[in-house]
Amino acid sequence: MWNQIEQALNESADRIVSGAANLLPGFVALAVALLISILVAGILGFVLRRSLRGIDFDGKAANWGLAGLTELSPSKSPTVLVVRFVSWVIILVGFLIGIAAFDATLTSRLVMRLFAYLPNLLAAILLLVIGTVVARFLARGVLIGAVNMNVQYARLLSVGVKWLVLVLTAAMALEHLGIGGGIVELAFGILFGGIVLALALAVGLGSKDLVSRSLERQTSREEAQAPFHHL
Amino acid sequence: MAELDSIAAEARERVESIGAADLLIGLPACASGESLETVASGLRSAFPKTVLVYPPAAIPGVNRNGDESAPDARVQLLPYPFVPVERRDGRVQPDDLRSVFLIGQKLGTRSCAVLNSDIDSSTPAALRALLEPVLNQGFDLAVPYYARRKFDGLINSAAVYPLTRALYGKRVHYPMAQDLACSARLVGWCLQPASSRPVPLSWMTVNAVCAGLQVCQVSLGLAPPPKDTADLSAVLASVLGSLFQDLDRNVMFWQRSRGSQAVRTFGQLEAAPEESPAVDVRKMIDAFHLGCRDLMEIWAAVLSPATLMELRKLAKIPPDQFRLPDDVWVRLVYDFALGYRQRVMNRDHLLRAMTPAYLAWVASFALEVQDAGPRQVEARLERLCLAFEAQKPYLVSRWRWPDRFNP
Repeated sequence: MWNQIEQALNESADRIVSGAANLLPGFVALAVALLISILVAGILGFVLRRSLRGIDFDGKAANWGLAGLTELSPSKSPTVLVVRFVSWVIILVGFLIGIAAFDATLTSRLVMRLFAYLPNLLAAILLLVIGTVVARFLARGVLIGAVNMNVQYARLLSVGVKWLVLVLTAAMALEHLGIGGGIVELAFGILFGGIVLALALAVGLGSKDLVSRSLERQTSREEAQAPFHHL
Repeated sequence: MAELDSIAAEARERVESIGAADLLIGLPACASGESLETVASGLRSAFPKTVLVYPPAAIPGVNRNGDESAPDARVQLLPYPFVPVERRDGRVQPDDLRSVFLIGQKLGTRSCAVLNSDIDSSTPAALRALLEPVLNQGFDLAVPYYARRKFDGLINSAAVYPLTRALYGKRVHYPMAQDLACSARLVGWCLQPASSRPVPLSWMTVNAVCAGLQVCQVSLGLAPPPKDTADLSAVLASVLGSLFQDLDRNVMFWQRSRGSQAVRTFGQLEAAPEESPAVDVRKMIDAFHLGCRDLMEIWAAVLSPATLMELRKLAKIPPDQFRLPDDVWVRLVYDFALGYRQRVMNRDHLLRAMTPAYLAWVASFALEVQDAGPRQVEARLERLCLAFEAQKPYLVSRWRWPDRFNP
């Protein structure tokens, strides 16, 4: 009886030790892969940063009209954004290589699922970037237009338009990612409707002057401008 | 010459049938048969073979049989589909100008003129006076020099004339002239440039000066009644946008030019009858205050910190003491030109954001000259022009080294 217990304990300890011994190289391989990828990411990031600063990538991005990208970037520098993106991609690849040391099938399954999800992720990121740029563009256009029409609540209108577009964009991005499901649609509907209602109330209550000014301009433009002629 | 294919086929056939002419006059704004007849009768006795190009849609009832069918008639008519009236913004349309030039070149004319202002107010004598320097005095571009009331042509007074004078070195008082007469040499330069890029025709005075051609002004009495501007910010964006666009193209010329010289003026400039109306600038000052409150972030992307500070100070001044110093206004215009070049934001947004600052200039100018006579107004605008010339090195410096620290 005692011998049987001892044998069972020994076998169990053997299984644990051999299991740990089987896992240990995998952990070491994962650590080594991560270390190497961090090192490569660091070196490549350094080279990339130097190269992009050498060609004045920040200035060129601004000249190409990518002011929105500058605003989104850490430290307001598109160079830093590109360098960080490349570095994280390299570290992710190193992590996947390290995981493969444990179980090749696990990695391939993970990679397959990741690649299947990747189009949704990229579409969501693209939507967010485009949405942010469009929101900023429209907000600025509305602000300038409203100020030029002497609308006192120009900033409110501008912020309202910006958030309308951002909320719409966020809802579309979350739908692409498959996060939230019906809750997102419901929340979006409530938020979007709320913003529209708030804007309608604000504009409706405050636009009396604007409408009367506009009508006044239409009916007596000559008198309103006299004696000033700009052209 | 291949570009002639781009004009309407019907007009092309008519050009072929006319063959050759000495003078071509485009009348894109002609709105009635009577106006056309007035111009034609004024020219018939004064000039050799002339072709009048008019918009057929605006004058459907013109009896063309007489002049059109006679190949040796002194004045012949050529209907041409100009830019429709509803798409015109009160300025010469480059597309119209290009069409007139192409037809003129095909006909081998000595001069091409375009009358874009209300031609009912252009007497035949005024038209002859405008054409005379080009046809007989060897000038390449003649533009009208009208007597204007002090509050007419304010965009020209505030920015266009001082800026073009300071940059291109010629004192052409109304560079955005709606009527002009050009020599065959200038037409040829505009249509066959040395570079492959077509020459924009928005600013013919700038083109002529940069081409080293002779420019003159012709005093034509009182200016035609000013046209209403429905959307000030759109007009401002259109005028200044095309002017700033030309800065980039002509950078080699204006960075070398120093000071300014008067151009020859034909005729005596008569003073415009000036009543001193009571001016109400409260709305303009309010618009500036609103701009200061809401557009500061946008202005901060364009203007230098010192200019921003001056604008903030100006917003605190009581309306009766409201004065925008020339130096601040000049820097502001130069900063917007630089911002336009560097594309710090969408260009249309940038130019429209200038409207409250422009209204501040108008308000300040109106308060300053409301009781002044024509000579005092002239002297006031001359001071502004000199300020633009004095600060030109600032523009040149920031154009060349945009990243240099700029207080």
